[in-house]
Amino acid sequence: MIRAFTSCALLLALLVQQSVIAAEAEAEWFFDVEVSGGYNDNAGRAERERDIVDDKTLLGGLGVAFNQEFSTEKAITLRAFAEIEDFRNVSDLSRDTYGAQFIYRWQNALGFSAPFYQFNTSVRINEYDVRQRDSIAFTSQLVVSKRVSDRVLVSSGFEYKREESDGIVFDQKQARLFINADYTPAAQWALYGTYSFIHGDIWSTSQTAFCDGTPANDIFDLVSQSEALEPDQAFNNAYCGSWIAYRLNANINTLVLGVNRGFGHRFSFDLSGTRIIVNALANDYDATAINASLLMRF
Amino acid sequence: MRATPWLFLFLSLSFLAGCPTGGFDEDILPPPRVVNATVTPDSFLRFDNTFMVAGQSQIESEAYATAYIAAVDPNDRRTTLAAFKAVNGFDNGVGARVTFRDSKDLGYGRDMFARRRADGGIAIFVDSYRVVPVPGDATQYGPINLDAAVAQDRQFHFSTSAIEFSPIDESDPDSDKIVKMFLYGPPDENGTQLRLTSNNMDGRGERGVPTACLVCHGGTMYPLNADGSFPLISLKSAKMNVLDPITFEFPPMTEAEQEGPIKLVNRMVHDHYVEMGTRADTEQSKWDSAFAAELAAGPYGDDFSANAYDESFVPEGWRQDPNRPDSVEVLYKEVIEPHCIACHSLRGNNSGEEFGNTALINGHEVPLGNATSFSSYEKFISYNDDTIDRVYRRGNMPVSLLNYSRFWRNPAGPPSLLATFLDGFDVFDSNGNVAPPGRPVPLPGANRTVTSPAIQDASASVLTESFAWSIVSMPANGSASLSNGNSSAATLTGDDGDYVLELAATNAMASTTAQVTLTIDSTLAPPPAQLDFATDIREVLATASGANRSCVSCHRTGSSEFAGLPLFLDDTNPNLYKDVVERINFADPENSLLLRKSSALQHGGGIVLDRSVPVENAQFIILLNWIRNGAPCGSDPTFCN
Repeated sequence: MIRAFTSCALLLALLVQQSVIAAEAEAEWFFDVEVSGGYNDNAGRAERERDIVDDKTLLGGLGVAFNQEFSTEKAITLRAFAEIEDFRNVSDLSRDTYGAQFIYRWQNALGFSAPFYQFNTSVRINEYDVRQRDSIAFTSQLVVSKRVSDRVLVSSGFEYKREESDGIVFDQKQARLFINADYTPAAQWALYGTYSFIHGDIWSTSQTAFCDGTPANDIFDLVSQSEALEPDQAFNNAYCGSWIAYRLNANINTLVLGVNRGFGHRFSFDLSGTRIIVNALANDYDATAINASLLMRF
Repeated sequence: MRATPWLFLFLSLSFLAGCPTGGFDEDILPPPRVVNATVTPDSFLRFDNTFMVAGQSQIESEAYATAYIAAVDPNDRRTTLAAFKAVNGFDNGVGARVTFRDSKDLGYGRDMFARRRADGGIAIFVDSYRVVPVPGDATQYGPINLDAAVAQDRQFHFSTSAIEFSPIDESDPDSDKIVKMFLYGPPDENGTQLRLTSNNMDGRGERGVPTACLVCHGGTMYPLNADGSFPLISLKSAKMNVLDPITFEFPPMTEAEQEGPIKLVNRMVHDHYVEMGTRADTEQSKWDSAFAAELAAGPYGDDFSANAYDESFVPEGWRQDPNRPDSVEVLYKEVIEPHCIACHSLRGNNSGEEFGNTALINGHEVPLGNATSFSSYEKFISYNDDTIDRVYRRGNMPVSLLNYSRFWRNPAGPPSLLATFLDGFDVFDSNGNVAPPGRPVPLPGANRTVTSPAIQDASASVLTESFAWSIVSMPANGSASLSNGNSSAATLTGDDGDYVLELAATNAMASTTAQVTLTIDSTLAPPPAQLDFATDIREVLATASGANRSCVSCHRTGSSEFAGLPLFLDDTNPNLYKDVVERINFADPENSLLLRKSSALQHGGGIVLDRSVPVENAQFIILLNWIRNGAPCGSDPTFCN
């Protein structure tokens, strides 16, 4: 989720900048390609050490966007995209995603430091190797951005996400507040950081019985507090023992720090790290994810 | 579900080539290969003979539960848990309260309340808490159930079991006390817990009251009487179980403080064993409570003088002596006590043991009429072949899902230990290890003489998904055909002579074979299809004489010499045919009590039909053929109303 936001936000930021810079253009098509590799040290979002498994991912994404400027202050973008993400250890977490996105951005006033706004909404259809995780996700986001200097751009926004799955645990609702800062120390270089506070549902996974059949004796709070429980097919297929997925209401804090290096007008390389700290009634966990992406735009 | 190919395969290959490997937690391993779930045995909490008629169990139904409740609560004074408490005086206080989880029982978190009744009886109710993290997964009756019981978290309050030892006739306080069992649902919106007639105890489907309970409460279940009332033998057969803290899990720091209440409950249970032992010797199927009483009192110094439960206690019949194999006490502590004795100690009766039919086992002259109680090593090991068959092949013992799962959790543990004591044990997997049941068990039936054509039904076969019959040998120059050879019941047509049939039973795990010899005798009289109870079976019961006495000579109504027998086979028994049919297992004919008792050592009267003796073998075959042909009564109105 966080990783997806990071690359998506970056792409959108590029589009926004492009639209502002090239405001004279009336309409334009873009094609974007992303290839990413990632590592997550807690793919199951687990609290207990025995349940923590790491994973490596490879993601490929394609997008086509149509950008239409109505004036120097207003533009829309329509984008369709497809992604394939492959998990190496818990292979059933691998997914195909198709989606569409609508972006509307505007400025109320012209000027270098005048804030510009963006509303975007998207729908994503996620298909996993296990049906229970198949889902359709709707996300809406309102972002306000402002140039603080010729090197610093800050953004802040609110996001609401609702995901309906074929299972019961993976039906999720989340509200998110975030603030982002981009710093450009030199041409072709950007450093960025995003802090998010999220309130809403999380899914996690835990063993209820271990590989030798012994049932877990310390998960009562987790079970009693969970809003939904079901066998976690992806983890059951990947590991011995008996695994359940469960949904809890949680407060989530995330911090993303990244660096982006552009190569010409079409390529950039992005490296980011994400720290996730989750507080829920029966499951406090943290995770760290590292992601490297090659972004191409035509 | 994903359906598209991996568009970026070339990228992934090149990328992953540079990725580090490993990173797994070492204690998380790839999943083991799992065989088809259909080969998992599922006879838990079931009696051996469920008296199936037209697909309906005669001992597990709404009607059966209703008849039972009418017998134990004829005036509907216990329709709710609150009413049960009031009847039994819980409004005046609780004698003992214990909170625990019994890891060998059903695995629930238990919050138990017990007290003595004013009439000297006992009343206990137990709030059961069950947390099932994975809905529908019956194996998840784990230790967190205890957390729910400690928290008294009502969202996991599954049911309340109530048990009472009180006069069978509520209007006569001097009448025999019997154990009465009730089951109540969780509190409804008004906090009322209503009485239930069935419950899904282990996630394997609804099981009726009281049958599923009495599987492990010493019950003997027979179908309802002709008038729909509950059979008296079954009604009087229930017992309470001792609390065995060895297999309990307690809330943290409470084990020591719960010793007192556990002892109090066990004292109550012990006293009811003793009282049941004082019932009239003429009572049909009277239970010998001595061994159960020893198990209850033994850990407390035999007289309850000790406060703490002695976990090292071994009953006398299981103590090491020079005649018993080494480590017999280890067998008791590791296998028998945790997995067998709680139920078996409440079973059997001593009818006929005084007649001196003993077997010499390990230098001990052992009466085996009550061997099913497992009150000694010799009695247990007399079931050597049955143990191999039921535990290792059929998988219908241990009888509860949780106990079964615990027994097989480590095949190199209790299963392998027990196997070393079993003569002729040969149930190994391809690696030479003891393995859980799962391979098909073909049961083509016992050798018998028949007329042509003969239907041989092997539907009793266990863990079997498909059948294949073949003729292995047949009389020289004879002709024969086998039809329906790929069904559970094949039909053999042929000339007179011996035919060896082989049945291959197959499931996802394996295919195994077994043979049966059918002797076609066109002169067999009467032919199997014409056998009836009134004419033929009564004659066998009256003339079988393998132990120098016939069935009827002992099993006769009103005999003071042979008091306490469970079954009367003389013609004065107005329910003679019904009582005999109740000893038939139509689903597994060779497993019928009528055949097992008459041909096995575990019978107070000894072996009445010895199959190695031609005359007795012929009588055995008459019984078997009659059963396999549906056990018709005949037309004699004296016996066949």
